[in-house]
This record gives sequence, structure tokens and C-alpha cells, in this order.
Amino acid sequence: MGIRKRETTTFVSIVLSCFVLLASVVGCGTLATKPDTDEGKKDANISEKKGGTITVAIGSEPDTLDVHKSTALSTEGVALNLGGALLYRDPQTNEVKPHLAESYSISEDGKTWTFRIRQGVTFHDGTLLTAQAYKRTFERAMSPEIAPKGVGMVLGIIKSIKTPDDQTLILELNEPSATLLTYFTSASWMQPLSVDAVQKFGDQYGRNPVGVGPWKIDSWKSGDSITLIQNDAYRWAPPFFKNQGPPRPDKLVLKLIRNPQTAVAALESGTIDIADLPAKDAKKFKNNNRFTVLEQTKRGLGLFVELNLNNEILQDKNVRKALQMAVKKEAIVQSHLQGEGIVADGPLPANLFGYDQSIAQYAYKYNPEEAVKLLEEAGWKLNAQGIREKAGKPLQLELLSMEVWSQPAQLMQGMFKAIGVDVKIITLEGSAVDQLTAAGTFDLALDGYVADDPDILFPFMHSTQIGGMNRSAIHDKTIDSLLEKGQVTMKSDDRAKIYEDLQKRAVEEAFWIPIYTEKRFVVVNNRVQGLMLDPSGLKLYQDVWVK
Amino acid sequence: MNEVSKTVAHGATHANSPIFPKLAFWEKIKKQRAAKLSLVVLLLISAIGIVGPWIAPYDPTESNYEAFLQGPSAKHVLGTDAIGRDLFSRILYGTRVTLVVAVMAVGITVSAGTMIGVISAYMGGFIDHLLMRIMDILLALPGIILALAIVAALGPSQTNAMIAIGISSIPSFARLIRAATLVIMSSGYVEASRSIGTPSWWIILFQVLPNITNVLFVYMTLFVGGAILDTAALGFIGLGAQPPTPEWGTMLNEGKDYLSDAWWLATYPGLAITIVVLAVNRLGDALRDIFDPRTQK
Repeated sequence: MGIRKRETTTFVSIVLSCFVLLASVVGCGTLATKPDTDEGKKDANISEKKGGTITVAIGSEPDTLDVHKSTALSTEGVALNLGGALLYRDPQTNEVKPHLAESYSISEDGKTWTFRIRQGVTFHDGTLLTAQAYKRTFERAMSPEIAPKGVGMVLGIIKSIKTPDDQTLILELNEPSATLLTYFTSASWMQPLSVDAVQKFGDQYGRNPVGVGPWKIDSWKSGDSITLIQNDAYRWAPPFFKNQGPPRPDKLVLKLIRNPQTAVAALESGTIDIADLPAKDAKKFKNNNRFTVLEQTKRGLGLFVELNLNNEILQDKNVRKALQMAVKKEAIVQSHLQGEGIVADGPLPANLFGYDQSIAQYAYKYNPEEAVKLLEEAGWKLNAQGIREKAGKPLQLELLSMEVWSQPAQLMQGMFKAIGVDVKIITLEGSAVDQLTAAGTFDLALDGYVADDPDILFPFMHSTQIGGMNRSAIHDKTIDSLLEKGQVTMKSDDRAKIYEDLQKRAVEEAFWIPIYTEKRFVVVNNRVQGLMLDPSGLKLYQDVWVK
Repeated sequence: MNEVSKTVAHGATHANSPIFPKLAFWEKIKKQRAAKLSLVVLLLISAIGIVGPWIAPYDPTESNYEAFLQGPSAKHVLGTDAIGRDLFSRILYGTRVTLVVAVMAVGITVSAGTMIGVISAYMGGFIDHLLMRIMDILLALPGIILALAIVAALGPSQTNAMIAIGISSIPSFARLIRAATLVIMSSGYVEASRSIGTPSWWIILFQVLPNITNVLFVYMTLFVGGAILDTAALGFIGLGAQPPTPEWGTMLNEGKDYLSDAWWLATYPGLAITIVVLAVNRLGDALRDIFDPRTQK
């Protein structure tokens, strides 16, 4: 289970936090900050000024800012600024530390979790944050009508919530959980909501969110922008920020700009200060002294191909392996990402906990000759048109793609053609792709994800998720049991071993064709200083100030 | 009644014209430099459309993994695109795709439009009203919007783009043909034929149609230019020929994201579209001048 995040135009992503109870093995990454340039050093002497407006481009508009009713990445990026979390992850040590909770403890059996809520924290509407506020927030998220829409899915593990006094929050769980603790570090999905405001606004709460965060909502012009203003009362920033008080700029304008070319023009003209850009566009800003480019390797697979195992042709493991060997991933990285990416060997990226360091030894290599041999063995013979066929049936497959993946799709089409497989590209909108994959009426589909924990593979590969995110319809007993064990195993080494086994199995069965892990580029006008990216790429504005 | 129709209808010759009216047409074309040039360019482009695939140096869908986004060079005359395909080969292949779509679309427009226009004018009364009001309704939408709606309903593909563009210009074509037919209808020989009880089909086939061929030809040429633009427009927004088919509009769309780093990607397909449309339109204008009785001396 996970919170499913979808960036409407690009990829599916899932919030699953790092397994940090005991984890320190593979880092959850560190915060990306601006490199210390000469200019940066000079600025250190200037006092960090108050006031000003920062304008940031957002690629897609949130469907709602009610964090219980959405799983969209666009929602998370905005809601993060309006809320706070019980815990936070120390960017230096990767340890989970208390934040809106003063302290917390977990019982021996892992089923009773006790939090002491910090005093003096207020919501934007002036009401006080108490344990009861948390209880009512969680209960709302878990209520049957709201739970399926968002974070309630994750909280389902909670059996009961008790609040002996204003400061104490006790959660009783059905079973121990290896992932829940780090869910509580999410300042967006797990933030406390002012229940008064929820009642007051009713269905309109999603447009009038009230949290405890450093920013308050000011206005939301649909299709144009969302404006946040600083929360004067804010005194409870996580300790790793330099600025512990309210944010220094007055306003944060999140401007909807869907097209990267438009964002480039807006950055150059100074209309916006910050934007996420594709590699080829970000490159242009690297040597420009008016801008700083923040780089970060995204934690996830930027692109992989799901093979529909219910398809008769693809049920043959040899055909699946042949397809794996036909793809020259380096070429895709080179052309589509301008080389700014890493070829992926298995279902997990190298920067995620549980990644098998030895995967390169057993992963498939680009080898069209071997692919042709496998297809021949499987009985697929070349016909006059250069397409393979068996018993009069041509080896034809349909590839579901989206506009953004037009280049990789066309490259792969050519690569598959080279081994005699005829692939037809079908370009659709995300929701249309979802419909077809849920119905199982497809052959190959392009997908991507960003994650904080290898448990991301549960929704993608567990047999109970067929018809949902398990588009490949993977129904494999070994995989199922490994995924289940991964969720409840608390010891780091054991858990890593589970995911290593899982990667071996997934590669051996050739369920997916992993293509690449990509980089994130955030271009920042030097007018704006102090922007940080958290490991999942969310922008943190706490230390930001305007020159 | 106009002079042209009289001349052709009676099979007689104009005082200053050669024996055959067709020759007169060539004579006039020859006198107009722009028209002559356009015609030559068009013939050349059509030739490319036919032999393009044989003279193209590379397979237009094959990627060269070593040459992404390379500028024009000896090996790749017009450079390569983002996934390493030879741009020159793609433009050559694209000529055929674009011309086929445009010509077929105009074919649909001309056949359906002529039929509706002639029937409407010939029958008159209720049928005329009905057909023309339907055309009016369709004319209320800009052609490209109508085409978009049709493609959206049929699904994006080269064939559907063809059908959509064809259908979307039927209304304006039908109106023009109706007007031209009405002129012929009012002529003495048609009235004479009707009064002696000549069947309608005979009149339409042997008196009306031959006399509107000139007009038909001019309008057709003018519509081809529009159809090429519409083909490219649909391709540009992803509703025309599907990747990896090399179609100029699609190529333009793929190139637009690289305007500042790979100018050749959008420039050459754009040039190709410009040249063809310009040639077709110049030719259409010239033809109109030639056939327009008001400009005849």
C-alpha cells in the first residue's frame, strides 16, 4: 500500500518514505543546496532580508488542497507549505526526529505508538494544535468515504486512537509497520488539519485549507496561480533550517506554466524565479550567472516498460527476455535525457534502499543477436516484411505511451523492429492509459515512479493490486511473499536482503523493461537565495530570502 | 451569362483564342511568370513525392544512435533529429505523406461539395434550402475546428486526418459550386433543354458540369493549399499522421522544443510547408485570373 502520487502529465509516483528506523545503509540522499559560489560567500555577509515575492512555476495544478482527498504530486508540492509533520528526517544523519511531536515512543511489540504533541503550535485560524486535533484529522482521513481518495489507505493499519490529555496521542496498530514511521515525516499528507475549518468550509475545504505551516493560503485563481502569504505566528520550523521563525518573503506565488518552453521564457524575462526544467532546457542556464541550477538524481525509475503478462505472446518468457535485450538503453538516455540520466538494470534505482549492488551481473544487456536467437527458439520466424510470425500470427504489439515519452517510444519502436517485432505506438493522456491498463487491454505500457522506499514495488507487483497499479498483472507467489515480508521486517539487513531477492526474481522473470533513472533540474534566479530540495525533490522555502 | 460558359458550351472558339480552349489555357499560363514558376515547383515537388523514397539516403524511421541532434553536415545534409533520424530523408518521405493527405482530402471535398452544390442549385426550392442551411450550420464553425471534432471522434490517424480535412471544407466548396451552377442554370441553352424535356441527369452531366470545370479547377487548386496547411496543423497538434510517420506538421511539432538548440529541426519542415503552400496558392491565383471572365480581354 502506498499513497499514490500522480503528476498528471508525467509519471506515477508514490510517497513511501525511507526505511529509517534502523536505516543508514543507503542514504535517503541529502538535501540539495546551491553550491558555494564566490557570489554565495559574499552574500553570507549580507543579512538575509525580509519581504519580497517569489514566483515559482508549477507544471500542473492541484486538484484539491485537501490532503485527505488527493494523491497528486501537484497537491503535495503546495500542501507541504501549509502544514507540518509529527516527525522529521534529519538530512545529515537520516534519523527520524520529533517535530510537531516533542517526543515519541514505540512499544516492544511495535503496536503501540505514543506521541507527545508540542505546545504552543497554532493553526492559521488561531486554534491550538492538540492531540485531539490529530485524532480528528486521522479519523477524518480514515473515514470510509474519504479513505480511498488518499492517505487513509496508509492509515488503515491504525486500530484505535486515544488521547488521554491534550498533549498525548496514542496509536494502537493492527500489526507492526516498517513504513508508517516515516509516513509521519510527511508535512503534506500527514499534516494536522483544523477540524473547525473542515466543518466550516465543508466541500470547499480543498480550496480553503487551514494547517499549521509557515505559509497560509491567500488566493487560488483556477488555471492561473495559487498565492500563499507568510504565517507571522510560525515559530516551529524543523531544526535543520537556519530560519526558525516565519518565512522571510511576504508572498509565494505558484504560477501554473505547463509548457517548459514557456517556463524558459518566463525565467529569462524575470516573470518567474524558479522552475523545474527538462535537462536540455536546464543546460542553457548552467553557464548563466543570473541563475543557479540545482541538480538531483530522482529516486525512482523515470521510465520503464510494463509487459502485460495476460497477453498470449508475452506469456512466453523467451519473448520477454528478447524484448529486454533489444533495447539499447544508453541511446535513450543520450537522446531523450541528453545523457543526464542513469541506465536502470532492475525495478529499483541505485539510490533507493534495498538496491542490489550486484544487479549489473545478472541484468540484461543490449544484445540483439541473442534476442533474435531467443525469438527463433520460441518459434517466431521472419516473414517477407521483416516481421516475425508464428502459425500465421505476426509478432505485433501495441505500446501505450504519453506525449512526454514520444522520443523513447519511437526509439524503442525502432529497436524492436530491428529484431522483427512490430510495435505500434498509441499516445494517450494519463487517465486514458490508466483505463486501458486497468482493463488489461494492452500489450506494453510506459510508466515511471518516484519513491522513498522499496515498498513502492508492492502496489506495482503484488497480485492483490492487479487491476490497479500492477499493470503487468504480475501474479507470482515468490514476489508476493517477498513483498509482504518487506513490509513487516524491521531489521535493516534482513529487509535489504528481501529486496535483493525480489530484484533477482523480477529480473529473471523479465516482467518489466527498466530503462532509466533521470535527474531533476531546478533553475533558480539568483535574486532568490536559500532554496533547498528535499530528497524527493520537493522545494523547501524556509530559508529562502529575496535579494 | 458569361463569356466563358458560352464559348465552351457551344464548342465555338473565341475570336482571339486558338482552336482549342485548353491550349488557350496553356498560352495564358505561359504569360504569367509567377504561375509558370509555381507550376514548375509543384511538378518538382510532386516528382519528389513519387520518387522521394528511392532517392532518400536513409530510412526515415531508423535512428542513428551515434548522431543525435546533429547539425547539417556532409553525411546528413539537413542534420538529424533528437532521436538520430536523418532530417533530409524524413522531409523527402514526408512530401508523399503530406501530398497524399492533402490531395485525398481535396478529393473528398470536391466530389461531395460538387454533388451538393450542383444538386442544390439544380433542384432549388426545399432541397436547396435544406442543403444550404445544413452547409450554413457547418460554416458557422471554422474549418479546422470541424476537422478537430471529426478527428477527435474518429481517433487520430493519417486516414482520419484526410477524411476530417476533406469533410471540413465541403460546406464552403458546395456554396461556391452552387453559385457557379446557378449561373449556368440561367443560361438559354439549359432552359431550352429543360423545355424540350431533357432528363435532369443529362443536363447536369453534359451541360452543367462541363461548364463549371474551370471554376471547379480553380477552387480545387485554392483548396489544396488550405488542405496542406490543415494537414500540417493536425500533425502539429498530434492528431494527424502518427509517429514515426514522417509528416511535416508532426516534424515541426517535434522540432519546436529545440528551436534554440537545433534550429534545423523546425526550420526545414517549415520551409517545405511554406514552399508548397506558396506554390499552390500562387498557381490558384493565376488560374483564377485566367478563368475569371472579368479579367479576360
